[in-house]
Amino acid sequence: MANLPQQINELDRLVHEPARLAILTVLSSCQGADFVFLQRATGLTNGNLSAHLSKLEDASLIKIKKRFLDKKPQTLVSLTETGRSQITLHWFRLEELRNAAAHSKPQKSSYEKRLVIEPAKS
Amino acid sequence: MTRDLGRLQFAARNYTRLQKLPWAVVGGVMALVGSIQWLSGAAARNLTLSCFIFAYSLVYGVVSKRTARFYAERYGTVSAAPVQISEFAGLLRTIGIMVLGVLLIFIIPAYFPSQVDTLWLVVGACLIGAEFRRDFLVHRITAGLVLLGLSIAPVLHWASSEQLAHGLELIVSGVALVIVGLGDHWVLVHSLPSIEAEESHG
Repeated sequence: MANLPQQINELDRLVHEPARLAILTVLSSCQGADFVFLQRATGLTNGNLSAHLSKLEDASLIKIKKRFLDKKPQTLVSLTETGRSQITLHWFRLEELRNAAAHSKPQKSSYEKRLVIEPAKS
Repeated sequence: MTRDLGRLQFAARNYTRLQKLPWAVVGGVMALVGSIQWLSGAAARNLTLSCFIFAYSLVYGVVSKRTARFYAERYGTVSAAPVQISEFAGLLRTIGIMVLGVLLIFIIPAYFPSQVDTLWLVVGACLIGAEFRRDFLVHRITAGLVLLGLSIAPVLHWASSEQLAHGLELIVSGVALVIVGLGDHWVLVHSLPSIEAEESHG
């Protein structure tokens, strides 16, 4: 079984980045959302959100569809099957990490072991 | 930026159903207007339930379109995930609807003092029934219980005159419905973080 640092390193950085994790979390709870809702939910600026969505689309985790609604442009975002499985896997890994951390005992380093104060001999 | 992922999931899951401001507030305001008519002894109190439903449909049609546009422009649009129900739950729901239909058509009108009590029974039952889910809303269940109580146990009819009882009933139900609509809107707004510009690199 991998140790904790190794498990942390195995987390997908693309998914784990806080802003992208928030985007994927929102999309995993619905069939799809538009740009305005994602911006409102995540609190990101227009440029920032666009950049993150581009990265996710390049990795085939989301699909973006643009259309006109009442003569106004609308950007619709939804998870792909890959995206859904990736976010589910990510939450599973985080849960495993949490359980592993809860059961692990703190290991003292050799330096900490040397610092143990011995009782004074009378 | 709020990173409360649980709150974001709640907002995305319930965004569509929390936009029910029109149906509840319109119904509530009409009930409150009706209570004024009733308590003042105006001739309008002779209007039947069908007139109320017709007027409600007209007003709701206009208000709901404007409200939908307001939410879409201010908060965005979400396509809700389809509800996954087991076959057994689906069968139970079908049977429940059939039983409710039989009750509404044959049994309840003979028992309840007025058509309005039947209406509050249906609305109250629907409000409570819709909350058998993970993200139940306390204010909806409370309003549903109030409406059910008004229809099933007409205490007001025992304690006062018919005119006052109907008027007070309409006030209580009107306030309950307005609270449902405003409560939904409040929950929706507070489940979404306030807009703050934040740069996130990665």
